Amino acid sequence: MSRKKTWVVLTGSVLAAGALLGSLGQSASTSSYGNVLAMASVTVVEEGQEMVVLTQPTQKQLNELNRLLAGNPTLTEDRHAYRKVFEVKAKGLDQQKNKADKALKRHSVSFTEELSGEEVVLDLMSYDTQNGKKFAEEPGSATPKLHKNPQVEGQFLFEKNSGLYLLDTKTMKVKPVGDHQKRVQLMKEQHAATDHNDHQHERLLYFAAQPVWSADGKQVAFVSNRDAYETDKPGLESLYVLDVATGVETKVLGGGDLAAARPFGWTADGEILLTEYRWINNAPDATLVRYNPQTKQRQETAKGEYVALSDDKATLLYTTGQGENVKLYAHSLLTGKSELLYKASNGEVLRSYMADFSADGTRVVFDVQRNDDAAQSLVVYDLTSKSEQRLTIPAGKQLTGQVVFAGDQLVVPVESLKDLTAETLLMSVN
Amino acid sequence: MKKLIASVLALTVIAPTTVLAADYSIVFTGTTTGAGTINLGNPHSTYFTVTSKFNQPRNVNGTNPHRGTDLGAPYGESIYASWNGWVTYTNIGAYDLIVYLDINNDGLKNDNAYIKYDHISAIHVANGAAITKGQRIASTGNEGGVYAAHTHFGVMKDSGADGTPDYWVRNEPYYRTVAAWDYGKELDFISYSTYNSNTGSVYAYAHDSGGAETLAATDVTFFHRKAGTATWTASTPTKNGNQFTLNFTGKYPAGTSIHWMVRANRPSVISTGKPYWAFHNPKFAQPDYDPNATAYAYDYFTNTVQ
Repeated sequence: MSRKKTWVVLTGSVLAAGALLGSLGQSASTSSYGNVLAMASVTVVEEGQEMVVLTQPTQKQLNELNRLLAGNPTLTEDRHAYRKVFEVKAKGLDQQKNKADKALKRHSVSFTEELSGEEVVLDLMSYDTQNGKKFAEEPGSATPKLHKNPQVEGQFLFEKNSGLYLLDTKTMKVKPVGDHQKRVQLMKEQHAATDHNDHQHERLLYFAAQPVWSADGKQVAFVSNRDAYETDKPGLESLYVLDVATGVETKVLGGGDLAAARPFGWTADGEILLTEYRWINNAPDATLVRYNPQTKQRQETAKGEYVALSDDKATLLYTTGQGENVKLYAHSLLTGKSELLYKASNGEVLRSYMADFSADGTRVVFDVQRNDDAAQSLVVYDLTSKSEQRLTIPAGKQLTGQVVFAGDQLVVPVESLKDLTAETLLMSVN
Repeated sequence: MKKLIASVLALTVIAPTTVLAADYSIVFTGTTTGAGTINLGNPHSTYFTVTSKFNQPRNVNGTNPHRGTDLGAPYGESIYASWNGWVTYTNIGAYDLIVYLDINNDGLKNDNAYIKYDHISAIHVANGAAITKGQRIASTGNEGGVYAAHTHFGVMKDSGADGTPDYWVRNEPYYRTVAAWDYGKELDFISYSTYNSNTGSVYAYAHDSGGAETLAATDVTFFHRKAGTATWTASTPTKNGNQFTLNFTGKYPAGTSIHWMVRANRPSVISTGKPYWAFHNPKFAQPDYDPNATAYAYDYFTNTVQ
């Protein structure tokens, strides 16, 4: 799992949770349906042998900040104004299900963005793990989303003003990567165009967006409309590959009836996994594709939209249809076969369209919701036994982030929009 | 002070005139129910760059301040519900989706607040369905490629209480906690209007995909008058960064109830050499540059000089 997730975990059921807690001798949740990891929703920043999570501000804290700023707007000139009401906490969770508070240290890294000329500051937090010191963006800060290099420790990729940058936490330096000279030139031309009849509403330039690291950490797939944004079809987005070492960017897919090519992963042998959107009868038509940028071999995987990819890149989840007609499938990239996991019915639909695989890739968890009363449930599907387990979200609580596996448990962030509280539960599944 | 007023009047005299006739259709209104009491969620999984702010002047059929905020989200990006509520309108042919917000979360459709999303390519929820914050409701689109993909969104109000939202309201009060959007200031062209110690204050700047465009003090004008009078007086404020302030002490006797409002030019978007503008609080689709030149009433704040 390469991306960060904010989660709430649910137990299999209230009774199951109670029994589990009893057997583990853990303290009961205030809400009696699970073991509480934190009294806030959390973001998972480390997985594996030791999971580390960072807390997120609650609605109550956000309301306090809102009132504070409304009465004194000059506080907004302090980029850390959120710290007046919210202090991030870190929790570690090991394989033995032991929880521990972790010390956090703040760091700031600044760099000059070439287009605007302004100094951009990244607010980071570090914490110690069994595998050494790790870094993540500070929750609540303006720091862009950091994409961790899967192979190079301490190297992160992020977007700023439609350009890509590399952060090295060993040197605490940021450097642009890719053709920034062209980016700045095109962005300045775009600014100038607002003096004329065009305006930025139509002529948005995505020079480099939605970056995805290759498995070997040497290349990045991303989307761009740099070749189309000044044409009569400025919305057409192409797929590019960046060689990180050389900074060379190569367009690998685009043009024709391709509306957009959105990458979501790479296989170990260098194929890009992406969703192609083509215009068929004026309606977007999504196809999952494997594309090898070296051989230019393109292979259609399935018709549908991407949902999740297993850690071993062997199985992906995708949907077909929409709303009350949606179906969720698992597709094996090894056998090429698809399997139906879920079909919306009886007024129940997929909710967040986020899903997570267990570490061994045999189970997936996703969330569903009823249309009439918005009641939420989690579905844990076992790909081996082809069976599912349903976990109901307790009344008065609702999911406030993605649910993820932590070993044989689920990390479930929930909140109440009535009393504005939040908590993250650890719940076991059968 | 006389010099200041004279210079402001002179500025008004040489001020730009509309290319097209002013349009007094009411498309904006004051902040709706719940502002300052809830913090709406992010429509996306990350805070995308703002590419056009609410009420930001644009070169589209005249000054035509922007109805809503644009986020630079590429094609196919998931759009998530910002709060609990219900889907009240879906029209994929028009690329639109509207949801009704249950601001106090009591299960009743009586909070008169909506969010409209535009330019979408897919709708993932049924009309009438109850939805929850964080639920995937739509995907970004590009209207057949004629636009670059982006998310147009904003809070709306229903003037007729007939189930049809028709007025846009400011976004900043709902996103004050978002540091990535400059604590909400990146969402609205003019934001954080306050009145303390006889001083009116606003923040104002433009923003597009390339970043912020700052305004000069002379781009911003405070209009004010004694309550019950008709004629507006124009004053140039003091600029400090993106904050513009005007101290009313001495302009009116203590105890005077005053009206005030703000006009801001966007100097980078011009026509025939003149910048386009917007008013705060916004009201009209295309307001006249000079509020004294029309009988149409603008929205304004009311405060008392101490």
